[in-house]
Amino acid sequence: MSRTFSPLAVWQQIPLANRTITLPAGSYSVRASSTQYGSMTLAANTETSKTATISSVTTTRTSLFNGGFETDESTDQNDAVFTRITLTNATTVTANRTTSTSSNVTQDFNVVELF
Amino acid sequence: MRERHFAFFRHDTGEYVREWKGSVPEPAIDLRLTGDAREQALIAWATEVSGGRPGEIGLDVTPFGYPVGDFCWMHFDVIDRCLDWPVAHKFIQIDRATLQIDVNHASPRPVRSTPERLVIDITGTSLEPYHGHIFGRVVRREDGWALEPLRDPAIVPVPTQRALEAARIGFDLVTEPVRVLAHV
Repeated sequence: MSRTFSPLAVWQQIPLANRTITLPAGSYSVRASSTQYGSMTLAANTETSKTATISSVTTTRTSLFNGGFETDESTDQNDAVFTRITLTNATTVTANRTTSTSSNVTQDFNVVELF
Repeated sequence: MRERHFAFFRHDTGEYVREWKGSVPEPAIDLRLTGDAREQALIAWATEVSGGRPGEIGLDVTPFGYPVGDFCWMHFDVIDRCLDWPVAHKFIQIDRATLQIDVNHASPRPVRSTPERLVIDITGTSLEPYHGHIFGRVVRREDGWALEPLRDPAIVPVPTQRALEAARIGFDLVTEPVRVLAHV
């Protein structure tokens, strides 16, 4: 079912405090991007995967960036400290590493959604 | 009919008021209209179907694809007609099975808990200054819930460990401590 709507020109004479107006998409501007950032910790000796819940995004216009990691692992176990992060779905970021190590690893991430 | 999502802000301050999502009549816009005339017709349609109240400015926020409630911290600049999210709230995530605090996260929109992960908004609490280093687990003591910080100075500095140990958590993990969102 559809209806025809007439322009508001005369109605706009009424003070805004006593009326309402709704702007359709495209009639207002918006900040060009939305950014979330976080850190997740993979526990020593046990964890090779970790998931973080984020605010819902549209995955087709969202990029995930690696924010670096922190650990006090002193050996050359690259496969234990370097993680791969992925945007698993609209509300989840996942970090994976090949193997665990005797040290904890904190992995940072940035989720940028563009409009 | 089509499903649309509307968010409303105060016309004077731009503060968030409420939002809702539902089915509304399709607009019947004359295809010959262009420019300002077309925009006025769309504004008339949106104003008619959105159910705005006096003193409110409504925005059709359907293209964002966000859940209802996600606009609660946003601000609308009435002069510039610009929607912005000025502040990022700080969250910690707790694994419900292990009670491990394993994620610190910041977002300008709410982060919702899942059956596996409890998300808590710590913005404005005594924990907020330590955000980014709040890792460890939640433990139950005689006087309530407390934090047992991760004993790893590379991830949780020693002064932060002491501060987290001294904090007392005012929530019950049995029921989810969700901040009330102002929505219809």
